[in-house]
Amino acid sequence: MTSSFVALKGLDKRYPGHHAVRGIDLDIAAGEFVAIMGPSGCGKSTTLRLLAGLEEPTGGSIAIGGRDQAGIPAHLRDTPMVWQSLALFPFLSVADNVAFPLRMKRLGAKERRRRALEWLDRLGLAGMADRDIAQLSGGQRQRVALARALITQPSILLLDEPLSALDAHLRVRMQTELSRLHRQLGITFVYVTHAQSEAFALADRIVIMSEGRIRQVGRPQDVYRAPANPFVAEFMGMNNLFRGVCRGRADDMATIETPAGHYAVPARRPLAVGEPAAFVVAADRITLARAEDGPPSGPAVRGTVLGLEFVGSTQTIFVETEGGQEFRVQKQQHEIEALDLVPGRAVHLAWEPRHAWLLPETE
Amino acid sequence: MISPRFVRRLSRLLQYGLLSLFFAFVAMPMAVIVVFSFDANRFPSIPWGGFSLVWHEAAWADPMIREAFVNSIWVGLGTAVLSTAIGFAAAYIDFRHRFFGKRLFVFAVAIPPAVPTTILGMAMLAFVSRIGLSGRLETIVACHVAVASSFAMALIRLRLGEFGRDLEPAAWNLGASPWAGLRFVVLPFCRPALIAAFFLSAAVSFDEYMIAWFVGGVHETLPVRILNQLQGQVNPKINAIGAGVLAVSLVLVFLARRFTNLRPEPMHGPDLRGDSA
Repeated sequence: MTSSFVALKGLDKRYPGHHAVRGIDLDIAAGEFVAIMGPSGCGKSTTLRLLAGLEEPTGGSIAIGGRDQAGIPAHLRDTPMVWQSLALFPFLSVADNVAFPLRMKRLGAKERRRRALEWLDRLGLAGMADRDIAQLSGGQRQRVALARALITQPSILLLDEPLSALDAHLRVRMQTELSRLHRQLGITFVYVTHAQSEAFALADRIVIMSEGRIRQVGRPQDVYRAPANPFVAEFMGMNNLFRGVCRGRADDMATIETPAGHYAVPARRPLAVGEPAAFVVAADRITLARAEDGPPSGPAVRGTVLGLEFVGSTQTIFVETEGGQEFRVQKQQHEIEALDLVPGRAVHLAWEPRHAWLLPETE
Repeated sequence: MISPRFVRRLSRLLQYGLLSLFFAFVAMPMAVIVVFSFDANRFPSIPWGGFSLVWHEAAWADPMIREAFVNSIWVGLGTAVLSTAIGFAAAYIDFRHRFFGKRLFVFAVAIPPAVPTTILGMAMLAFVSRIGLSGRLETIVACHVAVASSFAMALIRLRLGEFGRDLEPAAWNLGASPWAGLRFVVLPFCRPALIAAFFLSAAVSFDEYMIAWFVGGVHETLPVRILNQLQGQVNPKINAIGAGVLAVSLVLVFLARRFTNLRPEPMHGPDLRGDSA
């Protein structure tokens, strides 16, 4: 892999009583925007800290720009990071915060100031140079943190949940800003987050981790439409999972027996009869019908409406299936108006067989 | 009928009265010393014999008092410098590191002020005389440091409590070596507490009698001189020295307060909601 700019090989980090990162392999291309996602404690932040040299790996290796990072202390790596807490220095002015990395490189005061002003200008903070950090708003602090990380013109930028402290409106604006910066600078961004919306909006590729392992790597649409395993499918949230056993094969369809019934699923991988299998149907691929209108012709499950949730023009309908699972259905408001869905109403959830996605991994 | 308004006023008046009495009780002895140090009379007595600097001049002219004063200054200064440095080191270790026996370590640093000074003084004398260091000015400094660094550590540790855990790693991440991180991030952040610790340690040393008396031998600090002076004849010079010590102590404590009372700097984080950019 000569094209990879960052190469993690068997990267491992053990703490006493806690195995945070369990031998992960990952290649990141130069200029790529990669988002690492996962529930808290999955090892995503530890991976980032390992990249920055703030933690020593207990196994495996990290190469950045073809150079093995083993034994290189944090301050000699050029891997600036934007922290969740921002970690701005409260006793320094805005300009001195931004110029801090240059001061560590022993640049002259004049040059430091010039370049700090340049970056402040670039991030829309012109005229703020001599303010106290405490005088800035949340969004402005965010930009100061970015300017400070970028002032040395690094070839990689690490971001650890940088937007989690901002309100929703501001977060969207900063996303746009980050996107723009990434395009303009053309450097590698490694972005850790637990927010799907951020990862999907920003990243070229998404890495999903759980319990110290990588569960899937892929483009946002792949991770969304073609989850690799039940964990990723459920982590993405808008998938309805069926678990069962393969009971037969015909052409390119497999019949899966689940507690809810037998279903025909496109067999996108070799599947032996008797083998455990799991498939998902995405929430927006399901059609709803009232139970009294009779069962639909295709595959379906029966359930009871638990509740509804508006998300703008789309609505999420929560349904408890007869097997006791909670399923989600996503519809446009106008598509379900006629159904008069209220909690307690019995419904059929139906889908086209081709929209069932057989998971490559069952666990 | 007594109006409620009147009752309120009376109550308020009594509260203030009581408080004033309390402060008068605390401050009166000091005030008396200061007032009579400027009294022309041979013996402190009423009526006042008129304003005079004669006792201040006499005190200053006394070579033993002068020497004690100079000793106190040196001991105070030395104690302040060393205690602040050691206090910072101890506070930083407690803040940054985890290690076996850390609780014991922190306890050991905190304990000296809790031991009665008589016992501390005797124990110190027994120890320093055994290692042949008793009766030296430096020994007084060392013993004062043992007590004052507890205070210094407490002050600095308090400040470090407000120090964001990410700030130092962030400095490393931005190219600061561990030493540069200490120099450019931790120390500047602690500066108010360091200054406060400096003055407080100086004040602790400057007022301390028992330990100085035990381990100082022939070297007298000012409080020791005062006590020795009292054992001889009663002389209004005492009042003059007392007034001087009081002035120095007040200034030191005031300076220490001045720096601990700095406006708390809002840390990053808490208020990230609004945006006017």
